Amino acid sequence: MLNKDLTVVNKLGLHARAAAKLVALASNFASEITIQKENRKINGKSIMGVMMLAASQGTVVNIEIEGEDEEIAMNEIETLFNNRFDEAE
Amino acid sequence: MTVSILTITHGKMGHELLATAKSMLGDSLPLSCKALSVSVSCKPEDVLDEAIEICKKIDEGDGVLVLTDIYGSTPSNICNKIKSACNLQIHVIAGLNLPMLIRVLNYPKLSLDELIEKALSGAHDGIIDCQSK
Repeated sequence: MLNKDLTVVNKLGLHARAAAKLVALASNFASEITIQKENRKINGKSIMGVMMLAASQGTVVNIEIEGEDEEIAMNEIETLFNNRFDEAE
Repeated sequence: MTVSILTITHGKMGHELLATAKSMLGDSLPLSCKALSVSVSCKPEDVLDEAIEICKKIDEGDGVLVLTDIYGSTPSNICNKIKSACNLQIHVIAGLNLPMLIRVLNYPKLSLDELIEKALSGAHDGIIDCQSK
């Protein structure tokens, strides 16, 4: 099982389109992916779950991944966060 | 095969919700979706005929999930007549909102019965008193 804190760095935070991108990426992997913000833990493959985190810019979320493809999943999710969900700012 | 979605709503609400969902999800929808508007001036029996035609057209064999806005309203009453008027697997849910639609579209591979549960939970979970967060 892998566990990592990631910071939401894009200006708009985990808004609808960013959440949709994250969920689309997460859904490509067989591993279980959960995302936690404070005491709320959600399924990383659920767009409504991700949006319920209401994670704005600067928020640190904890990503937990368990399964056969956990390493590549964590790498790609971390890249998506660091690339600001492909947004300009 | 997948379930298809038909919204039947007051005015353009369904069209706008589908357009919004499309832009959120990356300019394409994972399920076959159609929207039907009900205006004050239209005849409910004409809308029912159109709804039945659309259902026949979009159904891929796994059924059509019909989403409407307010239970008891004309759009909702039209929806509830579709099932008895055609020989398709139809299920109607009222209370359509964007969270309901987004959650349904998040699970395009589920069966009609499973999508019904997702639609209901999406709509319920999406109503939040933001001051309590």
